[in-house]
Amino acid sequence: MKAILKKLRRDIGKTKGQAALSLLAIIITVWGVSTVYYGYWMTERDFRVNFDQSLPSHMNLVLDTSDIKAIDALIERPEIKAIERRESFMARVKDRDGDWMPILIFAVADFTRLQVNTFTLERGNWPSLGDFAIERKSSGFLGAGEEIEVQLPGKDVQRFSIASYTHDPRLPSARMDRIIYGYVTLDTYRSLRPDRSHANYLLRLKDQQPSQGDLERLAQEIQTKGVAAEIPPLGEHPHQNVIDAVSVLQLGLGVILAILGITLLSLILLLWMLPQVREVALMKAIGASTRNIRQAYQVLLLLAGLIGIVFGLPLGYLSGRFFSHFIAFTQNFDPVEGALSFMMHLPIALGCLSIPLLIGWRPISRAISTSSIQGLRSVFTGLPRKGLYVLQWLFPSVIFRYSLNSFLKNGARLVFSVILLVLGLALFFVGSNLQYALKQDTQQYFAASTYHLSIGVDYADRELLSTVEELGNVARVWPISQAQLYLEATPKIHEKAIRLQLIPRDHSFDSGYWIAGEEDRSCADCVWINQGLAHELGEPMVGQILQAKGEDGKMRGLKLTGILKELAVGPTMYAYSMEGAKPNTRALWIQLRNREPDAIAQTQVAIEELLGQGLLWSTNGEEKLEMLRAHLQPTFLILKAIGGLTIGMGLLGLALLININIQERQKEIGMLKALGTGAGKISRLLLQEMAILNGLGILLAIPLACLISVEMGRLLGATLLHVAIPFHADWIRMGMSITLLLGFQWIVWFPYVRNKIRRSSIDLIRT
Amino acid sequence: MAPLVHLARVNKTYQALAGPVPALQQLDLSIKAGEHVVITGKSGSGKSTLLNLLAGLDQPDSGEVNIVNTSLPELNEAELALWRGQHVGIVFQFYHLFPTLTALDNILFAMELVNCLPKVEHQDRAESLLEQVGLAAKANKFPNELSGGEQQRIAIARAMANDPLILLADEPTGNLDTHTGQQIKQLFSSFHQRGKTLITVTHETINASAYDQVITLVDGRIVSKAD
Ligand SMILES: Nc1ncnc2c1ncn2[C@@H]1O[C@H](COP(=O)(O)OP(=O)(O)O)[C@@H](O)[C@H]1O
Ligand SMILES: [Mg+2]
Repeated sequence: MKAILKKLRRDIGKTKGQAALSLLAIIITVWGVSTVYYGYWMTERDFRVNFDQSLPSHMNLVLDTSDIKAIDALIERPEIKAIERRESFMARVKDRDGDWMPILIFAVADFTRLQVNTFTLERGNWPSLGDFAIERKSSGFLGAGEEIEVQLPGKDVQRFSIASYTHDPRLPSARMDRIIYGYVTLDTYRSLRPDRSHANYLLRLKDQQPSQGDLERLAQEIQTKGVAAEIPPLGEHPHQNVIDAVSVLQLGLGVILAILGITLLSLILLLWMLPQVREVALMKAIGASTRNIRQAYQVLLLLAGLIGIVFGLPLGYLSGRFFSHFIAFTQNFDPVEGALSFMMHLPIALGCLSIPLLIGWRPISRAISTSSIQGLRSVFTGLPRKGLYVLQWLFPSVIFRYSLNSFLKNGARLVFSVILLVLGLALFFVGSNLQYALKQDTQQYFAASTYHLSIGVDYADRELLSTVEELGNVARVWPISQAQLYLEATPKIHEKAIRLQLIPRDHSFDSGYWIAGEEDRSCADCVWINQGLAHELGEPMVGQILQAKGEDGKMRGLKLTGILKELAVGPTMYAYSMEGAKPNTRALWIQLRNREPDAIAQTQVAIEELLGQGLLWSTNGEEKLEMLRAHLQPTFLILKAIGGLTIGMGLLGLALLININIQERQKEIGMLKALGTGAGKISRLLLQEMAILNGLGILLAIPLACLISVEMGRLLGATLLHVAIPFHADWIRMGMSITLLLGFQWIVWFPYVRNKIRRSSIDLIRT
Repeated sequence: MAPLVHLARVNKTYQALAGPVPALQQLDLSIKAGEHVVITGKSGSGKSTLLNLLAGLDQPDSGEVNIVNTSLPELNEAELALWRGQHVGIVFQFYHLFPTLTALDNILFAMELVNCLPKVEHQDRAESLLEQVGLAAKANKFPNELSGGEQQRIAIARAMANDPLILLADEPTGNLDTHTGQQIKQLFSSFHQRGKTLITVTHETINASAYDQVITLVDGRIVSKAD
C-alpha cells in the first residue's frame, strides 16, 4: 500500500493546480456547512441563555388597585416563586434631532430586587424618584445628553434626568422597532399617572419550565379570585418570529449548503477518479491487490477530509461566531462567550471526515472493479441512433454537435456540475426574488391602504377632528375607539387580553387585504382580526364564535367574520361596534391625497403640531416599511452570504471541470490543431461546452428558483409576518445576474483556456 | 518549376530533462508536386520530427522550410493553423478520430473547422470521400464501433476533407495487421494517382522502386536519397 500511496502522491504532485483547487473546494465546503452549524448553535445558545437569564414571566396579572389583597393571598402558594408589580405606559420623548418618538416606560417595584422579567444595569445608578433609566439600545436615538424631555398624554412636557442605562435582553433592539424603552420607579409612576385604576403584576413559578396545562389551571384558579391572568406564549421572546425566521433560514441553508458541498465533492472525486481508472488498471496489471489499492485511496480521502477539518472548521467557527454576534446585536442579546462543548464539535467533525469516504466509495469501487482491458481504453457508446438524427436536424453544425456530444459523454460529472450550477444560480435568484417580492408586496400593500397615517391620541373631540380634516392634504379621518376584551381559552384558542379597535362604519379595508371572509356590517357582535392575531389565537376559522369578557364583565360570543392581512401592524382585532363600549377616540386613521413620502411626512408634522399634548404616537407607511425592513435585515444578510458562497462553489466546480476537460482531451486538442484549427478557435469550441452547461443550468435554475422562492416566501412570511409573501420574480436582477455570470466566466475562462491550449504541444497526439 | 517542398539546413533540437536532444541536423530536402515520398529510419531517428515540420505542426530551430511557396518559419501560430488546414492533410498511427463524432461527422467537422470549401458542398463531398475509402455504409458509426483499419480509413478521408495538395502520414499502418495495412497503402496510392503529393513515414523495410523518393534518416541526418 505504501508504494501505491507514494505513486498517488506523485500523481497529485503532477497536477498541483487541480489538487489545490480540490482542497480549496473541500475547505470551502466544510467552512460553509460549519458556519451554519456553529452559527445556529451559538445563536440558539445566546437566545436561550439571554432569555432564560431574564427569568421571563409565566403569567401576567391585572387587577383593581383597590383589590391588592388578592395578590398577598396568592404569594403564599408554594409553587409560586415571585410576583412582582410591573406597570408600563406609553408617552413620547424628544430624540436627539428634536423629533418626537414613542417611549414605552416600565415602572418597577424595586430595581435592586428584580425577580421576573429582569434586566441588568449597564452603567450609572438605579433611578430614584423622578429619574429615568434607559435601555442601552435606545441611547443612539437620544444622543449623549443627561436629560430627556418626556410628554405624557394630556400633560406638559417634563424634563427628567437619566440616572442609568440598562440592558434588557427581552426588549428588541430600539432601532428595529423605532421605540425608546425607559424605566422609572413605582413612586415616579404614581406621580405621573395618578389616574390609573389597574395594577399589573408579573408572576413566575418555581418550576423553570412549567407545562401549559399547569399554567392554565393556575390561571383559572386565579381568575376565580377576580384577577385577570394571561399566559404569555411559553418561552417566547417578544421577537420570537424574527428568531424563528433566522433559525428556519439557517437550517434550510445548512441543508442546501450540505447538498452543494456534497455535490462539489462528488464532482471533484469523479474528476479525480476518471483518469485514475487507467492507473488502477495498470496497478492491477502489475499485481497490486484490490485491497491495497482501495486502502490507498481511502487513506488519501481521509487526508483530504482532515485538511478540510483543520482549515475549514476553525474558519467556520469564526464566521459562525461572527454571524451569531450579528444576530445577538440585532436582538439586543449579550453574546455568550465561552467555548462550545466538545460534543458540539464531534458531529460536524465526524461528518466532514466521513462524507468524502462515503462519496468516494462508489467511484473507487467502480475504478477497482473495472477490468484491466476496459480500464485501459475509455469507451464512448455514443448517442442513440434516433437521438442522433433529431440532433442532426436540430443542429446542422457539426461544430456544435461536437461540443454537445463531448459534453454528453461526461455522464455523472455532467449531472453533478449541472446540479451545482443550478443550485448556485437558484439560490442566488431566490435571494433577489425574495427581496424583490417583499418590496413589491409592501409597496402594493401600502398603495392599497385606506389610511396613510395613524395617530394615537389621548382624546379627540368633534372639533379637533374637523381641524385635522381641514388640513390641505387630508382626505379623510376615521376616529378609532378602543375597548378592552378578555378572550376565553378554548381547546383551539389561547386566552388573551385584547384591545379591540372599534372602527367607523364608513371605513372598509381594501378587498385585497382579506385572507378569508370580510367585515360584516349587519351584525352587532361581529369581529375581524388580522393574521398576526390569528396566529396568536391558534388560527381560528372564519365563522367561529370567540367567547370574550368585556370591560363590563359580561361574557359574550363574538363572531369572527374575516381575517385580513396587515403588515407592520401588531396582532389586532376590529369591530364596528361592541355592546357596552363607549366611544373614546384613541387613534385616528388618516387618508391622504398626496402620498409622496415628503408630503406624508409634512402632513404628519402638521397634525402632530395640531394635536399638541393630545398626541400619543404617530406612524406613517414609510416608517412602517422601514421597520419591516429592519426586521428582515438579518434574513437577507444570510441569504446573500450563502448565495455568494454558493456561486463561489459553483464557479470552483466549473474551474475543476474545465481543467480536467482540457487535460483529458489533450489528444483531441492536438488533433484539432493538426486539422488546422487555431488556439482561439479551439478555446471557443471548448467554451461552447461551458456555454451549453451554463445554458442548461440557467434553464433549470429559473424554474427551480421560482419554486424555492414561492416556498421560502411562504415559510419566511409565515414565521415573520404570519402570512405568505406572495411570489414576484425579479426578472431584471435575474437577467443581470445571468449576464454577469456569463460575462465573468468569459473574461476568466477564455484567456485561461486559450493559454492552456496554446501551451499544449503537438506531442500530445503522439503516443 | 520550383519544388513544392523545399527544406535547407534545417536543425531541430529538443530540450529534454537529460539535456538537449538533436533530432534533425543540417537537413536538406526537395519534393516536387505529385511525388510519392517515403521517409524511413529506425525508431528515434527523427522521422516524426521531420514530418511535423513538413506539416507545419512544429517549427525548426534554424533553416528554411518552404512549402507551397510559403516560408513556414515566418508564420505565427494562427497563420500556421490556417495554412495547415488548407494545404496539408495528416494521418497518424493511432487514427485520432474524435470519439464523440460519427464517421461522417468526423469528416464534416474537419471541413467546418477549416471552412475553405463552399458550405453547400460539404455533405456531398464527405459522403463521396467515405465512398472512396469504402465505408459509405458506416457513415453513422462512432469510432469505437469501427475496427482499426476502418478507423484509419476514416482518418484518411478526414485528411482529404479539405482537398489538400499534400497528404502526410506518420506510420499509418504501424498499428494494423499486414493485410489491413496493405489495404491502407493501396488507398494512399489511389489518392496519389489522383494527383496528391504523398509523404509517408514508415520503419518497415520497403520496396524502394515503388516510390519517387526514399529518404532514410539516421540520428537526424539523411543518409541516402533514392529516386
Ligand atoms: N518532445 C520531445 N522532447 C524531447 N525529445 C524528443 C521529443 N520528441 C522527440 N524527441 C526525441 O527526438 C528524437 C527523434 O524523435 P522522433 O522524431 O519521434 O523519431 P521517430 O519518429 O523516428 O521515432 C528521439 O531521440 C526522441 O527521443
Ligand atoms: Mg515516430
